[in-house]
Amino acid sequence: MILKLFKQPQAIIGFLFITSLLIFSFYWPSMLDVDKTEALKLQDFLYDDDGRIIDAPPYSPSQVPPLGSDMFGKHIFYQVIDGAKYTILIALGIALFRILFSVGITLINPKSNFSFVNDIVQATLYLPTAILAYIFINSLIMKQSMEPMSTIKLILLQCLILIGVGVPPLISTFSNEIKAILKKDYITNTFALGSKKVYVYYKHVLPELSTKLVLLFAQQVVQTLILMAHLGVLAIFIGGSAIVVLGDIFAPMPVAIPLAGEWAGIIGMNFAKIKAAPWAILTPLTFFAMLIFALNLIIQGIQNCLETNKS
Amino acid sequence: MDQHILQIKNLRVSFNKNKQKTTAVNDVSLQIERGQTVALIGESGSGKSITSLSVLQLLPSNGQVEKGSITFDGNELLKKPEKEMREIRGNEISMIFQDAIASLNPGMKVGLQITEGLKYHKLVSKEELKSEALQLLEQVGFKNPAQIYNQYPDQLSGGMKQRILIAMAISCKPKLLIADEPTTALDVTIQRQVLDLIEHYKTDLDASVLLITHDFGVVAEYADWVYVMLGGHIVESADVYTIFKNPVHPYTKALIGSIPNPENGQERLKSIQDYTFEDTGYDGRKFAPATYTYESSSFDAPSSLIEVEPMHYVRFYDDERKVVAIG
Amino acid sequence: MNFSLKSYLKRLRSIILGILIIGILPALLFGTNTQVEQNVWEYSIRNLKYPLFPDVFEKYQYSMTIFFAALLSGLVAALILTFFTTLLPRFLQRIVYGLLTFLESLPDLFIVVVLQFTVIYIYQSTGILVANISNVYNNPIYLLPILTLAILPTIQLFKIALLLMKDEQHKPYVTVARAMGLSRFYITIVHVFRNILTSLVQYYKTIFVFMLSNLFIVEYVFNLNGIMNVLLYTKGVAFMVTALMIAIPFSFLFEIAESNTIKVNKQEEEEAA
Repeated sequence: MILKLFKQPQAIIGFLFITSLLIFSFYWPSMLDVDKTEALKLQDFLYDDDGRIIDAPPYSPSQVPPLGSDMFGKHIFYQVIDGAKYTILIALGIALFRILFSVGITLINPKSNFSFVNDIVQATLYLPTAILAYIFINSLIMKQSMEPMSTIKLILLQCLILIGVGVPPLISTFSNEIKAILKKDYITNTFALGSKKVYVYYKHVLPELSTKLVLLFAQQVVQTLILMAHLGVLAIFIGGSAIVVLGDIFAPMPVAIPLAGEWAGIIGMNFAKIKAAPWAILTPLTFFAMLIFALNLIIQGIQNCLETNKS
Repeated sequence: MDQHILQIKNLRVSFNKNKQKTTAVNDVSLQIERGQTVALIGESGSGKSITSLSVLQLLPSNGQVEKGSITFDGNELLKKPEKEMREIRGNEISMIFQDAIASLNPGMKVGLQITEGLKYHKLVSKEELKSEALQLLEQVGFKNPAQIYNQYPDQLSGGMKQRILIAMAISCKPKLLIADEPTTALDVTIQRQVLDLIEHYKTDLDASVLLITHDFGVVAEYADWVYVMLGGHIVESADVYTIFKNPVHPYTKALIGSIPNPENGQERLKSIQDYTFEDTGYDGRKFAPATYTYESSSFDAPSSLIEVEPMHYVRFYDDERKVVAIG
Repeated sequence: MNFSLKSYLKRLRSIILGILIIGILPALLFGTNTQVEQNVWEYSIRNLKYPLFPDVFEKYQYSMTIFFAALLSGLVAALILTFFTTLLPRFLQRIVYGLLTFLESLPDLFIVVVLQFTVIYIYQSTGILVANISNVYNNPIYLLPILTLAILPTIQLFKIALLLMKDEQHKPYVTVARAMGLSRFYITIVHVFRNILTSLVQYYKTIFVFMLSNLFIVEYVFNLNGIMNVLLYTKGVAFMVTALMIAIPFSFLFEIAESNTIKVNKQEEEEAA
């Protein structure tokens, strides 16, 4: 399966894009020969050659190449590059755990209908995932504001919520999938020949499920990314946020600043200033779009593989 | 007036798939006289359907006619532009397809589907269309045409669908009817009914029929002239009596031999061993009896079909007319 | 039409239970919030309290207008585009398909933001306001949200329709119709499109669920007074009521569509047997 995937040019392109983005994100200071702290520092004002203040942030792409700055004067481009690794790794991790949890739960009790899971799935069809996650994370943040907890614990709980909102639909997908496999003639045959249940699951059901798992994993990554972007707009950031008051005394404007540097945070942080600094939002969004496109290329490749398997 | 309504000469059709060329039909010559039923018989994949589709120029997009000519009523069809071809399709030549179940649009009432050709070719008014459709339905043996008219294909059985297709094909009163295995998908009990319908149409309107089949029983009953096809070639052609009385080509012999005959008390039916024909390509010399072997240099016939007796042609050679030797 | 009340009630029970679980779960996990005690039938946006009733009906109507207008225009646009694509030569069709795969990857947020900026940019450079980008006083805006919401479903439906078209054009009945001398144009319009439309219904669920999620983002970014924004800020009982307001009619639509498609599938199975 993996070998076949390498024969799909589009899948390779997608894969290469994501890996190179990751590598670049880890090593960009040395690759671009810039100082990381210098590139990401706050820049209060722009000065001309004589040392006079010529502008205050946010700076446009022409003032601060290549892609302008946010309202603290931080380079958007470097922020986005630096945030890529967090974004990709968080999305991969959440998707992975979603798959693992749901496969685990399904396999523990494969015959059950999970009626309460089914209820939740039926209900979540009509509720956008972002709203669902918002409700949970919001109560979490409320709780944190009353009884502070460590950042690590907060991040863990947030991730658990993001994992949790994706699990019920996956459970129902898997239990349907497994039921369909168990109905196949050759499984009946194996049982008729006296195989143990565990053996059948291990030898037949899981291998047959595995290709589907890879596909679902890639789709889950895409969904997680979209969910993260939505939550970013809602000013919910993974890793929590600090509230900073911007603007003058007469019009104070509280702005949430993400503590981790992932893209959704950059979007959310700049969302309030959307009209003043569109580039600060469009850049991370474009990167989101490219990342999702790369993932879709991989998904298409996997689907092509599955189709050639069938025929 | 030409005595032949359809004349195919040295037709070669090939398909391109993955940049590989496969010749599906090669050096096929065939003619149909007015008022005759000509049978084209052969196993699946021998090129029968491709031959008939190239008459209507409805080959799949990766297929093309490479060589040869097809004349209908004295007109060359292969040179006609698409627009003129449309005037001929359904109007002068029409076709009955083998897969009746899939050949009707499931989302459209059958009554409307029957009259589509009429609407296009004959430009009749709406009321006339309906009465014409009802008449056609009656003609193909429906007792309650008005009810059938408003039904969707899903509500009909296979035999009924095939009759609808026949009604569709004869709606514009074509001079030539190509029936591509019209009974293959049907129950044995309905086969006769369907074939009789075609036969009736033929005699009523003095039309001609090209009957494509793989059933010698059908051939014996309905055909006047028989062409046997194998691997894209016509291997034997004769009138129906000669074929049955004196088959020459081993494949024809094998086909006729596999018809069950209760009188000679066979215990088992004969079957054609598939692997005999599975070789890289059909090569006629495998079957050639010693009396018909020639050196290629001395061979000078216009076609690779040899007249073994008057009006009885058999093919023993491949296209290059290579030396033929029999062990 | 085929509809069984019993199975709908069963589905409804499932949905109500599910929403109940979701509504209670946050409080269960993280404790009830005693600080921001508020009336059950109120919700608060940025510390301003709003009553749930009767405003919610107006918002509901507004959201649903946008939703269904977008769905309808998306469907029409997709069909028109599909039709014109089939007239193109094959290599161009392939390019269109590739382009669609790319466009499909664009996150809804991206499209919303880009569209908003486009309108602003056109206004700034030419002075023509193509459409209002956010609600002005109490005049709700329609054009831009509908347009934005329609884009992604259009792309998806377009892609599905193209695929269906490819399948459909190789079916035997098309050859039959051609053998009757009908033109390709006629066959595409009368036969193929009719069948594609019925097949498209099968994808209603994916499209609807996807669009509901998009609707939320559109409402949030354009700052519209819609049902999704209410859903976002309500808690407890008010949340459950709002969620049910969305779930009940949509599940009704799903039930109708599902019981009819199942019937079609059964017919096919019977035929195959």
